[in-house]
Amino acid sequence: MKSSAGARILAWVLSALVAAAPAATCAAADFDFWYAHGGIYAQAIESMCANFNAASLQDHVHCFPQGTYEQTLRKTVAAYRAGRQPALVEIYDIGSADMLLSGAVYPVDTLMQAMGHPIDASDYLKGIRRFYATENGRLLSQPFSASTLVLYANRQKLTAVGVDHLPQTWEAFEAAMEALHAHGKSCPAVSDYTPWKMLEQINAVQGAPIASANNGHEGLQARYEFADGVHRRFMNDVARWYSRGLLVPAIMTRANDQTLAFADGECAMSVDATGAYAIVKKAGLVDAEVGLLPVYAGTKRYGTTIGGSSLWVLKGQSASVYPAVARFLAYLHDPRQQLMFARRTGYLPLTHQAEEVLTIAPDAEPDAIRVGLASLELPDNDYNAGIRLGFTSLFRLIWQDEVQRALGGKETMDAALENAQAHGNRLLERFQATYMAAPQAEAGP
Amino acid sequence: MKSSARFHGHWIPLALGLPQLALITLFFYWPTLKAFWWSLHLVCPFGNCSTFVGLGNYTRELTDSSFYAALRTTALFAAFGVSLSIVVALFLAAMVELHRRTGGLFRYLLIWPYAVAGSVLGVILKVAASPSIGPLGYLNTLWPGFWQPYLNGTQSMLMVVFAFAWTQIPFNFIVFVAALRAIPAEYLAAAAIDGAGPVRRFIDIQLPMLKPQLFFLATINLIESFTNSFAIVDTMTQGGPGGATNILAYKIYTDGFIGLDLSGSSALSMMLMLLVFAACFVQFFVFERRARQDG
Repeated sequence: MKSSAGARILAWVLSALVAAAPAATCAAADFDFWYAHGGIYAQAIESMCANFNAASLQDHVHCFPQGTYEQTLRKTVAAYRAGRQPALVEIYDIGSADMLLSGAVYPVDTLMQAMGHPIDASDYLKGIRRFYATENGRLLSQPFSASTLVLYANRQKLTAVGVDHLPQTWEAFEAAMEALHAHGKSCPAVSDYTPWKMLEQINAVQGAPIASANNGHEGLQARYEFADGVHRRFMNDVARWYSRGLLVPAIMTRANDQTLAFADGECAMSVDATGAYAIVKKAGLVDAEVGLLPVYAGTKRYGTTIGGSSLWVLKGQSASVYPAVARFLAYLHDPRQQLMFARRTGYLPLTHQAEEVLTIAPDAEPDAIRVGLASLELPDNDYNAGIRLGFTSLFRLIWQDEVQRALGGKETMDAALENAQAHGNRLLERFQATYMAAPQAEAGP
Repeated sequence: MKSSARFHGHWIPLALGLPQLALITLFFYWPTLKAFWWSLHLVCPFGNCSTFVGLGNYTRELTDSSFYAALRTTALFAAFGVSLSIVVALFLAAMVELHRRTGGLFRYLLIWPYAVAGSVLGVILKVAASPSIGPLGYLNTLWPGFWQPYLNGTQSMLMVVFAFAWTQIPFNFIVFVAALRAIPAEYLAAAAIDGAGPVRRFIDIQLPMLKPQLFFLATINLIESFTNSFAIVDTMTQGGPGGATNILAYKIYTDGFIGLDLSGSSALSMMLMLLVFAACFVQFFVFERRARQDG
């Protein structure tokens, strides 16, 4: 008697579980959008979602924060494998190679064409377009949050030590740090020593290669080749600045964070993303001056590259969802939304129309955005469209490990870069081998 | 055992074990099989392609210097973490046992930290060890630049070893206290009458009688240091600086979940599993037997 009661309970629990699984059946034009931001950035995204839902009668987007960029990509992979993926997801730049080869993507240009909202790739600013477009100029994802690297300086502190102009070159940057240091400033400049800032942007602005095959844009055969040349020179300078206490690791500051260590006035200079501007402004503690990323004296300056994310549409949703996704993407593409997002976050506007509106009202244009846009508009060559390489998130960790070992005196900086390059190339070989057997991505949903 | 205390036939015991078996199958055997399958293939992250490569993933990991670096780090971490956990727990248990009247209170107090999850502890200790805002940061006001756990590999290793020991000591302590209680008081009394002091009594009587517990805890702690130390490393150091705390369990996580290298990560986890099996084997077939012979 008892066992049959137990069996009944078990059966009930099981059937409840089974019934709960497909409970996600919702109205036709509902869909999920996963984004990868927190704080003021998430607030801006949530308000765009809310405005879209308020303005739209038939569509409803559910916007969910999924943590960091890394976590969002990881969750997307897991969700896709389980068949529970969202319709739209924000993936960071270095996930692009994985997304392009995943076979899980419904290309945005095809979708927008099919749904009657065709996008013209030439609408996008040059720096944005060269970063996101494929070799043949297609946009397979919609650019979303784009940021680039600029130099922030605490005007008061620089004036106090007699530095009247923002450093344009690394030589001037070093001189400014020395002046600050000589005047007893404990933190002349701060950095979190990440490869996006120290490798990808530095090589882009000097027009130097990071990997062969056009930094990976031309295919899977690309291999790293950064260990010589300008990156080696820069990292040896960084090691010197580090050992002399000029360039302080963010982890050693009170704020424990590069952006905050500059925003709270502890550190006088910071090479940081335009997206950090909103935090600096919101803190309102320092008179921040923004300038272009320095280059080496006597070298040609190229455009910097972008860091940030784009929006990918995933396959496997019901056909009725995609028109709604297209309407949402068109809404986000609208200059008004871009401007709202740019003003609230410091991310860059993406299209010519949005940029024009910004420049018409120059007082409303944040400094970092003005400088960032100027930095992207500089001349380009083969090597400032960012990298498109596999296992990049793993490679970044390897680069960081090696550089930390070099800074800790365990090996020379040259050896560290050689090791990072060799290890990175093993990753690229494996990535190539992994996708050799991959099915070619088809265009449909 | 009385015959009436045993179940007859096969079906009732099997049925009673079924829920547990189902859970183990779902959460252990199935993932293990899956990981084994992945470790023999090159798998695309999104799951729509895979190439059979045999033992290719294993040979690749075994020829990779970063694998040996992680193995070395794991060995260091395990050796120091396990010794510290056992020595401190043994010392505390012996002290409590020495003074039974106040010992009762301390027994409860010392068990409490066991309830704190590794990741929570990691966050607390991270603040405590912060070179700029934590109590340990005080060292830097005495000797500027002395305490830099995020730049100095030795210090960061010390930090995670300390955190690991913190999580293990309470359980070890409970086991040691119980074992010390089980030692007949007559032995100790007889030794005391012969003039043996507390240290002599501990070394000659109590310690030898704790051998089975010592071996058991050493194995349990060792396995914990291989596997469950992940949360501590993740919250405190993320394997840094320069890979100084990148233990195997953490490398498996970064390769697989951050790097999306499912194949390499699976091969590494199979090798970690072999390590754990080896530790269990040593515990059961070598130490247990010897302890039984000694007893």
